[in-house]
Amino acid sequence: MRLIAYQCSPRHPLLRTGEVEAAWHAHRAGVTAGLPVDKYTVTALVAATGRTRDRARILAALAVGIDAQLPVRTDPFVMTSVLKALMLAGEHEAAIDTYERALVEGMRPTPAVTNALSLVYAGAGDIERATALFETARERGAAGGAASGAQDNASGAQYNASGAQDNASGTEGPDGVVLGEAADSALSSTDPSRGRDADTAVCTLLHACVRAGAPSRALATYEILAASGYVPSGSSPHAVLLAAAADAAAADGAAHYAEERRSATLSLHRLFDEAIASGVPADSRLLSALVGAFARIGDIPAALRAARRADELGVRPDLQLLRAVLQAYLRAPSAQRDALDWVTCAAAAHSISLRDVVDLLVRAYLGSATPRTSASPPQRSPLDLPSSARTSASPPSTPPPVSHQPSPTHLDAALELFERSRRHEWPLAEQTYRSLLSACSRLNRLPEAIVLLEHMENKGHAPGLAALDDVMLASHRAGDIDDQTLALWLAGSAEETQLLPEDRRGRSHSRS
Amino acid sequence: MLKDLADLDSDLQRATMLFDNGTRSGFELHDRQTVSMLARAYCVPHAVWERRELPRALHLFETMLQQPADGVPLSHRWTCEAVKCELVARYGDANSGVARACIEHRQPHEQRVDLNTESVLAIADSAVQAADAPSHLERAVQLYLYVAHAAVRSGQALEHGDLDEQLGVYLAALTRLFGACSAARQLPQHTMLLLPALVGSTGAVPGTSSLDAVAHRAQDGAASSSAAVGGLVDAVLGATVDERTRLVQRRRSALNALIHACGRAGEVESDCV
Repeated sequence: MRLIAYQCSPRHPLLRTGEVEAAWHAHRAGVTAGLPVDKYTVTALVAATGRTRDRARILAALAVGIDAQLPVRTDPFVMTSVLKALMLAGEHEAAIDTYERALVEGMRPTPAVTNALSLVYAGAGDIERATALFETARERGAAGGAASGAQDNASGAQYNASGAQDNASGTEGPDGVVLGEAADSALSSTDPSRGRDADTAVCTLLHACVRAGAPSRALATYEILAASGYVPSGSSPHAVLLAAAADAAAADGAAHYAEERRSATLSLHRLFDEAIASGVPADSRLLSALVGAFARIGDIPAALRAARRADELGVRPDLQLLRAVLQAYLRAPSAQRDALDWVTCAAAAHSISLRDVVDLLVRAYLGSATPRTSASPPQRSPLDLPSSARTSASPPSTPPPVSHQPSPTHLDAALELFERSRRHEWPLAEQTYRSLLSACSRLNRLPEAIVLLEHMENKGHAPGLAALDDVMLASHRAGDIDDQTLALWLAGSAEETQLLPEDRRGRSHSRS
Repeated sequence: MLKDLADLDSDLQRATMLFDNGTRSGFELHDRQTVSMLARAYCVPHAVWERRELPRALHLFETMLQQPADGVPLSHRWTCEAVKCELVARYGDANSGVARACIEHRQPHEQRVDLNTESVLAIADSAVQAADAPSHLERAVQLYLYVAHAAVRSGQALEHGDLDEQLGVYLAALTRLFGACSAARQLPQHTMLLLPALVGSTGAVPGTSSLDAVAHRAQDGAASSSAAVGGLVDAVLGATVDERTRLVQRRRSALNALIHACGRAGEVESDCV
């Protein structure tokens, strides 16, 4: 009954209620202490609140700046954050409305704002306006764009100086590109940095098409640009094109029909080979995009074969490529197990730390791309419960989906990775711990499951009801708990999975 | 230049060996001055040995705290062990290096064994630089909490240091910490406990936040405790408007960084299930 003694470690109450609340608590503490709000406070609050995907709360974060009588409505730096947060929340109309009000109030949009807006339009399905925005910026020319870009960079630099570099760069990110200047340089300049800007601008436009659900439009747009004389300086536009081509093929049924898939595979190969032949550098980004594109259309063997072309193409594998391979593998874990060996060998051969892919790798070994969440019904074993207990437990009537079960060898590999991650303190996601816990339990590896539980407790991770169900079932098989205890547990578990998510939050800690 | 660095490194390793051997032989080497000096030497910013020696520096800090890390509220780890005494433990046996008691409850043979502020800040900063291991950020938070609530500046720093400047250094360090938290998408467990010291709502100044700390300044190199308190008052009242504005801006920047770190905490790759 070791499990009965198990309890999750208490986390700080503020963290338990969520990091967004912690951000607001910190803000309120600052206000109480009399610290004046500035535009970076507003940006940080907007970014944090954006995770709630709640339009009202995002606008409330903006209102903090308005209440402090800061000109946040006309500040491009703040407006970029607001547009992105609203876009992520799926509130495209609200984003466009906010932008238009900002224009009326006198905001002078910078390229960062324009790019964010372009993505908003695309997200709203308004590809015409997204493209028009690109064209307008292109016509506006280099001078205005460069000036506003400089202004944006200056504000970013100030924030960087305050030490929170990630905010400025993360919020502005690649959007710091000058669209007009980019388009000019795309057609005329040979300056490498201008060429990179042009690539970024073109990528934004292509992304906009893809996001708008018009991947074919991305391919067509690129053809027009190429016909106008645009020559990419790097591989990034083609990486987006590969993704767009895969999306277009998937929409045409390549993900479901073998014939379509074969045709799409050939098209992707052709697109890739033509890019290389035209002088686009074969690098890890391009190869990763190819792997991802094959995975998107469901041709996992082709994806893994593409990764193995790294040596032939003279591409040094990096984290991006390893991640792409693992993500492809996770789409069909039973496809080619030796892909995992390739990943570990490539990492060892090129001195790539597995730290940043260990989570994906563990999940790949477990073969559980979509582990059950605590909201889904717990999986039952074919256990013959006593009839009275079965009645009271009233298990869900619909049979739960059967998760993929790893082989003992792969579970060993996953556990070895877990040990390494524990030794080196590499981060693993809570859901990965849960998958590992379930896998150990299903293969009757209770000692390892207990070690995992203790480790999760130390790290403040909740095991979740579904994984705990598996542990309890394994404990029952091992004779650690009797039929009645198991029945009671499963009854409680079934009852709890019926709760609303907000009721369930926090209770899974106390139950165990 | 490289040779100088290599020489310094080998000097440090020799010093470490002497310290370890001396400790094993029963010499009382865990006194405040020695361990503080050693910790600072381990954590010289950007030194080739900084990363390598960080575990040793952290160990010096952990050794000083009398309570084990698990199952004890954080502040209790540096509180005097006498019943109902809430002062910071600064005295102990220099053999073990464990800070067991405050000045009132110390045994006659016990001496100062607590690390000074400068060395604790140096260890914390090195831990932030090595933030690729999540536990380092957690440790850094604990170190900064210790600085906010318990650490006392060295006598030399007290004589020559400027109070606002010290607070500024502390706030800048916190800003770096929160920047590292953002980058690691992690908010260590006790981070929010730094909030009062950060916003200044308790008037906390690192190394000067408690009466205990002020009282111990006299022991720490200042001429007298009243002189130490007088110096603090002078420093606070004497701060110009510009200096105060600068401090407020630093607090604001650190707070913004914390808010941003909160927003990034727990973010996972979109592909994560």
